[in-house]
Amino acid sequence: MIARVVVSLAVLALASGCGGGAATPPAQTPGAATAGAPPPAAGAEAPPPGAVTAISDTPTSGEAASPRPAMNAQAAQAYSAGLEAFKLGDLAGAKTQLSRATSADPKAYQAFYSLGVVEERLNEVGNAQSSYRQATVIVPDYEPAIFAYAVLMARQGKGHDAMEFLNARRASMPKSAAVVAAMGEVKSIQGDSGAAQTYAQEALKKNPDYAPAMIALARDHYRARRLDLSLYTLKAILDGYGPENPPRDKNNAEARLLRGLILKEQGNRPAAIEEFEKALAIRPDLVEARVHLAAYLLESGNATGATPLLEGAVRYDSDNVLAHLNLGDAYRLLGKVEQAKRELEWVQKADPQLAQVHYNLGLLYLFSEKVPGTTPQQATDFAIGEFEQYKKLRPRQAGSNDDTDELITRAKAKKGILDAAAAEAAEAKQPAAAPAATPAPATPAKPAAPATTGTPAIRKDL
Amino acid sequence: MRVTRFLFLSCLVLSTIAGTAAAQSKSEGKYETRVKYLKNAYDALAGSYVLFFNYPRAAETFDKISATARFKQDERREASRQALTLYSSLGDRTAMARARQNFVALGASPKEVAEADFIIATAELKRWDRYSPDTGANATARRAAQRAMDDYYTANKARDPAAQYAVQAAYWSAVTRHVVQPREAVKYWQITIEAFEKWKRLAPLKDGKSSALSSLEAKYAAEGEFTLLTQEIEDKFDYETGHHRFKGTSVEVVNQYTAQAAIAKGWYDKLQHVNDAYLSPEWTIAAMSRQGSLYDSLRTGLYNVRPPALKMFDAKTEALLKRAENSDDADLQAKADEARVRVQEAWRNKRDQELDSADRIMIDRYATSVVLAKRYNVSNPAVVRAIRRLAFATEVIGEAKMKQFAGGVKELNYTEGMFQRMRPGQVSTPAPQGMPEPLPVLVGGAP
Repeated sequence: MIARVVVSLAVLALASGCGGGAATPPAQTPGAATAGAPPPAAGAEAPPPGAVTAISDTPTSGEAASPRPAMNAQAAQAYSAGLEAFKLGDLAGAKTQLSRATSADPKAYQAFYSLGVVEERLNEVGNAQSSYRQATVIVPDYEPAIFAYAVLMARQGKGHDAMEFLNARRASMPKSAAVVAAMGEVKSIQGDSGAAQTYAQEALKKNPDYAPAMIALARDHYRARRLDLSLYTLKAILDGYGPENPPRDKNNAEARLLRGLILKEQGNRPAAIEEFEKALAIRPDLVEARVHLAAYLLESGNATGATPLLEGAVRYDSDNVLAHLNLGDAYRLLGKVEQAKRELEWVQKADPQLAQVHYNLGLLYLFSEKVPGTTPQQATDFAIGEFEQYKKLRPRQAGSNDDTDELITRAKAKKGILDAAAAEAAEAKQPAAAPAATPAPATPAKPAAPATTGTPAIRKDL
Repeated sequence: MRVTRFLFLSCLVLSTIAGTAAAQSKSEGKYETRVKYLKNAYDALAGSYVLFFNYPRAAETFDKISATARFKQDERREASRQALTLYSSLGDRTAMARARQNFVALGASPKEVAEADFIIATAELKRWDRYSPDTGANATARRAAQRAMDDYYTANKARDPAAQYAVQAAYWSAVTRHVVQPREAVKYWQITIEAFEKWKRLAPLKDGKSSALSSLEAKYAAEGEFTLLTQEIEDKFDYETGHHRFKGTSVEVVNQYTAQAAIAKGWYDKLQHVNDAYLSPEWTIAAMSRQGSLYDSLRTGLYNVRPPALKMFDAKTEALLKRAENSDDADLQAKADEARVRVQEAWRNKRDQELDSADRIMIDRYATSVVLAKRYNVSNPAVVRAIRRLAFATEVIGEAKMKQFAGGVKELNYTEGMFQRMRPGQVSTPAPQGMPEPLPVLVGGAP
């Protein structure tokens, strides 16, 4: 089943034999899994123990898979290295290795599918579609590729094409729960909740344990703003309803993510944080959970906690503008000026109209001790420029807690001090002038009366 | 296929038993057994629908159970409660009303009825998206939610069993107004606080304290009290809204300041009530920051007082001094000069002393709110403001004093330039999708 998660990829890859006609995994020796892999991306973190970094491709019909070509040894080695790279969030390395696998074995349908996954994450949509498609050309009933291809098309606004593709597959795979669940997901993306629910229910009738169909139902309720029903569904998946109805898939990270998002919307911050944390413990690749959780931490002043989350987010989604924006600010708060500048300048280039980046750059230039490549005067000028730009992009609104004007004033004051100091320094280089007259001694101050501020006793409670 | 079979079997058993049970005579002695089987079958069918996430059918089945007179009353009541909850989530008003009627008729307790009525009322609330613009369907949904919450509160405010839900209804009555016109929500925030006071009295005790403390209702009431106070402070006290523009002679300025300091103390105590009365971390932290802001306003007013608003002497003394200074008498001139210096210095000393005193409180409250926000993972605009003001204060009062005042704040571990460095930037999150990209596939089959 697509969603039945693989708890320990390395162990299972070594231990599993040929299952239901699936390709035989390559012979492994210690360290072989990463032999061909590039070194991990800078700062890459190993996934937590028990994390899920790959799925199974056992057919959802409950029947044995159709005969499928086995991956040759050379491709298998590259494939394994590709998955190791993916596990570390090294998408470029994963792409290289998986491409190598497809070149070494043009029938390696799993490699084409997994390559599509990586390309989709790299926002190479056309390539991803081609790779998914190729996997289904090699193995026409290959469910992971069918599901991913159709959903990607729907996300690109081609829901009609996706349904046409799925209808054709359904005719030849009438028992597949994955195909019908994909139809549900596509319909939901198209905004047709009624059809989405019907298809997802149908998928569950074909395979009652098929978690993606359950998630499709919950997600459709969420999209249709039936939040209670979505939470109901998620409770059934994650917690169950008593001993008679145990949880259907208690380690489902997508369900945790969805529940976290709903709880966030409902203002239940502690519960949302817990769900995002649990989701990430299972699936560290969930960029959305990382960004939301990191934002919570940043908002409460915990840049140390937010930074690794955001570093992981940009590894798995290097084009994620908001992850870069927040990471830039996290670095600034940690005093990592150079990294902060790099991230924020990247955001500025990627989306110059994003007002927040100008504010954050302004803070970086104004408050950092030394910004590489700039003199203190230049940094102050840049700060003023960035704050002005922020104001232009986001005009002050009544009642807003906007401090931009105050920051500009401070930047100008700082500039004045720097200019004066520079002028003084230049003057000091001139021939020495006559010594100043000795200042008169200050008049001794009278003892002051006690303060009249009605000082309340400061309570150290909480 | 286990669940499908289960569903099929449940239906089969139901049709068989339902068809024959009625025909059975009680005297046969099998009646009770058959009814028990029938109930089990219905429960299984409802459970199967829940398992299949088919909530409309699950609600219908619970409804059917509640309407079957052969079943025990408490079982029927529980089924009608389940049906009511599901119909509420599905937004089926007619079915909700029917389920509620059954629930009451089946002997639901007053507290259960109060809860059921609140579930029905919240069906309208669920249609409203608080964070979307108040336009079109969302504006209509907001007004409908407001009506439902107002009606619930009005109908239940005097009923003790509904006390807990009355707090929630009052809160949403306030929020649905506050998002569009904060001033119109004032009355409803007050109602929320009053409703909470009542609930606090009625709620069961836990470890010797009211279980209402630290609850959701406590959070709602704390938000209400904080919102009311902060609006009032904004209107009557904040420097940003034009207060503390001291003027007159130095003595008059000090007197004005002293009077304002007494008022600040009053606001401080009122904010302290938010901290003490509800035990809500989020609003305690916000209230602490707001306590700091009182002394921030006060010290800003004093710090900014300058001539011509500030005069060192009253008109009569000034005239005398001027006359002495313009006289040809060197002794008189020296005395006048000395008087000016002495008064100037006394003013400065007094001002600095008052500033220190206010700064100490301001920094303690702001910094403590920052520490607690991190400890409890809480964010609030009041905390963001606290950090900004601490950063500003560092520049105004200097590192030495900041170190002295902030050094005493537990867990802060103040280091030089800390508040400037931690000044928060703009954090953004993407619009929620809840649909991640797929994972690659494991070669080697399923575990």
